[in-house]
Amino acid sequence: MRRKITLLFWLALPVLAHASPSVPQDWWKAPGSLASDDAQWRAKYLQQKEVADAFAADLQQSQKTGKGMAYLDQGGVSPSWYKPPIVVQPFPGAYSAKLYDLAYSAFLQSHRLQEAYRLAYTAVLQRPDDRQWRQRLIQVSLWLGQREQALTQWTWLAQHGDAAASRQAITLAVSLSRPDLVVQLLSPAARAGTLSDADWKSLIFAYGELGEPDKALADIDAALQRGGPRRYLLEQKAYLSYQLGQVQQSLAALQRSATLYGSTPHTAVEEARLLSMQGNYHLAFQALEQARASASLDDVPFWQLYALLAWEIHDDPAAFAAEKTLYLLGAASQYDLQRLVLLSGKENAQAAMHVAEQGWQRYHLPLFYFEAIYYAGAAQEWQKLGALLQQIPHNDPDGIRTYSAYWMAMGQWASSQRNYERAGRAYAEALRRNPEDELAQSNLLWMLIDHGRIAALRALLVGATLHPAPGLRDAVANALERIGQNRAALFVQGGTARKNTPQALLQQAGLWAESGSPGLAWSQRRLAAWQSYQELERKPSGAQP
Amino acid sequence: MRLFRPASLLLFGALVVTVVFAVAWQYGWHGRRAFSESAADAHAQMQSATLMLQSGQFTAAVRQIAPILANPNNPLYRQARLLQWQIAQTQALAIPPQSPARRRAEAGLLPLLDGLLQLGGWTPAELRSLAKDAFAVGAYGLSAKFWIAAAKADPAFAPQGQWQAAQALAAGGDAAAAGQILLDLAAQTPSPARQKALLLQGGQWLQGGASAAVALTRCQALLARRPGLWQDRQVVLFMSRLAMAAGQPSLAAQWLHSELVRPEQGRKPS
Repeated sequence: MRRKITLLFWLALPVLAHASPSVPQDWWKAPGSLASDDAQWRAKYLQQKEVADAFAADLQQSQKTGKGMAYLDQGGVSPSWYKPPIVVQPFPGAYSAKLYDLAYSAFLQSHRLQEAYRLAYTAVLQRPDDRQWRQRLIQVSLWLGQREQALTQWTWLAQHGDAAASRQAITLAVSLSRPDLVVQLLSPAARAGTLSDADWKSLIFAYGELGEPDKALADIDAALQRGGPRRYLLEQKAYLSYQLGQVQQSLAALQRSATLYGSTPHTAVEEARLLSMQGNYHLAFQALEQARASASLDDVPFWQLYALLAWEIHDDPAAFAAEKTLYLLGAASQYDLQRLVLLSGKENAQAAMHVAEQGWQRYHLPLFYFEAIYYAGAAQEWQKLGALLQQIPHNDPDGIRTYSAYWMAMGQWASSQRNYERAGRAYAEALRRNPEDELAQSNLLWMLIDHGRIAALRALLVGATLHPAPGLRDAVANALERIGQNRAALFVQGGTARKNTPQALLQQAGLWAESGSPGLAWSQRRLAAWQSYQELERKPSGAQP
Repeated sequence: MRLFRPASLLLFGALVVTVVFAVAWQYGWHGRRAFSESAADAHAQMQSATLMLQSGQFTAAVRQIAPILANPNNPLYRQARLLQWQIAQTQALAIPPQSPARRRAEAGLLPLLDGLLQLGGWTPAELRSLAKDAFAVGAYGLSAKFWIAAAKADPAFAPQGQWQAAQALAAGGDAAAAGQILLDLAAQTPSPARQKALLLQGGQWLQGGASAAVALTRCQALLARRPGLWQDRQVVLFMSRLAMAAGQPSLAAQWLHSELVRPEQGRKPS
């Protein structure tokens, strides 16, 4: 009697608890799960995009106005190698070869580099076509750390047909972050198709710094038209068009490269990424499938994308194989583990349980814990389940006990241990956490039915039981039958969509017979027999194609 | 009459003898017993020797003036020495050049010239002539000495004489002395153009003959006295080259820098 009252008290509690705001969320939406993290990623991506856009706009503004670009404007302490630019006044008077040559050597011999710099600067101003003086100016500039001046002179020499100066100018322009000069120096050769891969890299980077990837793309197109296809250029074209948002073009370049030079796991990954951006998950998966033979176990990104795409297109065997590979390589992320749990759970609950337990140990996410106890229950690993349940310390740092799933598993485990008292308490706790939990309700009912707790069932089913929730209908009907209210059970069953399976018909027939209508029961049993016969006849013919 | 007393006769006789001796002395008798070597003879010998020289009879000419040369007290002695030199010079120059005989002859000329120089007392014109002759036969040192003597003898001619002496010294391989003469000359010359030319030439010779350091010091000393020369770019370039050759590039740099920053209007076209 006292037990009943306790039970009723627990059952009544949810009505009070319903109002409280701290209703625990579903455990599969807890942080760390795919569903919740996806929303987080989206928000983070949007924020990053906003920041990047603002930065790009600011940079463009700076480049247009020239403000904020000077090194010293950044307000730091200059590094030791930094030499401020020397501002010199040219010497008055006309150029005289004898005087200037002699003075240059005298200044150098007496270590007056500043004067030598001023002299060479004057000479270059007065005789712009004199290469020797430009070379001298470069020499002194480098001694004085005037790399900008050296770059200017080298650029002039390069533009007047000096190949060695051209190399120097490019190197210096790259190290001084003068993309405009790099472009000026390299673009003609690039368009003519006579540029090495390293120089192409510099050129493309310079265009990127200038914020003009479209021009880089135009140069690449010109080079491809003049010099024929080239692997590096095709890959760069793919990358740049992707940067510009021209996914189709990027894809075309990648596919051209793949047909001409073969598909590598790396390019296949790129291609698949682009295709999946367009939503063509099937094509993307095919691209990966083509490169699968050449992918080694080291290509973790490949296998990750492969698993993801297979999961997307519901190719469960492929996804399972890939996830298994990642799991065995130790490269599985928490999401990989989640997918692997889901993929293996259908066939092999025990394996899923082990994977989930692994995830719980590695990432300590409640999600994996609940997966583990779920699959432990499904695999009927009661000992394991008990160990898992006992693992939660008393103070419960992860808030595991706030989820009703824990109490459900506890109920399951306690029932398996025939500790019905404890099971009942666990189910009641689950229901207290979430009064709407139909699973808990039906589990509780089934437990009471299975173990003949008629009194408890009566107490539970008192009141409006004729219109249970759809998920509870079966359990309520069975419970009513168990406590002898056959008509009510029939009514509850009748509320469901009429099931004409032989099993359902036989059950109804039993109910009718017990509630005093043997005729109806007989005709239903006959109908069930007829249907079973027909089904038996249909089965062999249906099995043959 | 007491006039014919022996003492009076002796006195008269002595007077007559004195007069005779005086007349003879005046005619060129110098107490020798040989009366044939008289002044008239000497003139005749000189003239005949000159004629013989012109006709190429060098040995005979030498024989003609030999008596005069034997007597330094002969009034024509100096002329005879000159003639002797001219004969020897003509004789030597008659030998085909580049031959050992010519070389020997030229070497034999030097003591003659040196003797003339030691003799001294020549007129400026003679000195100039001797200097030129000496230069012609390759006795450059003696030529320079003659030029210097000529310059000393004739103050109006002094600058040119010194210059010639310097040329002769330079030709003889003593560029240092020649350069120093030119620098001294530059210090005395009033014309800036001449000063500049002398400085450049003298400096170069000093550099070649002594060393760049010596040349630099001497030229600097000169320029300290003539600072106006610094306005000339050629001088600046020369001095800077000199300084760099002397291992003082900082001096050169200093001068060149002031030349470079000198305003346009103060500059001479060079």
